Amino acid sequence: MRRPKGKPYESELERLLGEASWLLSHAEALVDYGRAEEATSELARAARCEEQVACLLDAAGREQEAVVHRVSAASCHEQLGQYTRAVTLLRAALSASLPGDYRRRIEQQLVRCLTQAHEELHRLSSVRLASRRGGHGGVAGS
Amino acid sequence: MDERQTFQWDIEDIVAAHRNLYLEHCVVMAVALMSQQSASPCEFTVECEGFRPSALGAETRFLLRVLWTEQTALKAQRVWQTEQPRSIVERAAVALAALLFAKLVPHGQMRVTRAGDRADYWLPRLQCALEVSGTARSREMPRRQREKIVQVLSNPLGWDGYTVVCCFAAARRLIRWSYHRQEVKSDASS
Repeated sequence: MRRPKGKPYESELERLLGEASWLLSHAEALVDYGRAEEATSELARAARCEEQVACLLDAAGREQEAVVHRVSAASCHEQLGQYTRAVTLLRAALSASLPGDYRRRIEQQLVRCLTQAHEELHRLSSVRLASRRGGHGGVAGS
Repeated sequence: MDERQTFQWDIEDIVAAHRNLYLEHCVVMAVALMSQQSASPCEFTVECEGFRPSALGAETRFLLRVLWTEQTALKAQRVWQTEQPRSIVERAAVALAALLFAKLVPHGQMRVTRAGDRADYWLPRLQCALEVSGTARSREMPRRQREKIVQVLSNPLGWDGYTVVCCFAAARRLIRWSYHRQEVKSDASS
């Protein structure tokens, strides 16, 4: 497969790298200011940007950097409570060749997200069950 | 008389210098902390280890005088009502690190990524990682610096790294700014 090369591609990648960084730091500032709703929306944008950056870095042959940005995207999703998406990204990150201690840190984060995803599923099941017992009976909205 | 080389800069300069970071809140928190101890400018002794910015010549220590505007001071007055002291100290340290790299290191523009619940700073054009920490207690500095050196050298890209550890103790405002090389590039495991 041919890798995209050349200055326009690289400058676009650099622009996106910069944008992801800016969004992350802005989200952090909004958290500091207690503006939770805006922080959530900025973090979601940062997550999307980091995912895009990771793919482009992979395409540019910068696999190690791609892992860093994939983990960064996963960390945003984790903070947003989107654990299943975080798990997918962390699993993708672990498929690369990584230094031992970094791999361990990602594995710990993966375990944490899997636990949260499991608890979320359990909560959703309980809510659904309670709603059925509440007399709604049939399958709503289907 | 203090004959150390002296540099004096506006803390607000970091906003334009690091276009890939949103640093306004770090500026405000730095001023919240510094203005508790001093009028503008606030002085710090900076000690460099493992490198010397070219502007310093043969010296490894200098005096940093940090200025701020009245407008920033007004914003900073509100910070203590809403922020945790620890968070203020850490953000203030990021602001000072950003100032040092903006003014004394060519191509020292910073970027950030997240890893779990922490922020990792990078100097991509220098291919270096960066760890920053702040404390209000001078006796904590050696331990903080040791921790940060270990952290910066364990960066996943295997890059060399800088650490910036800032002490905001009223009696001894000090910044330890150090550069560390990877002695042996770690082998990747699959």
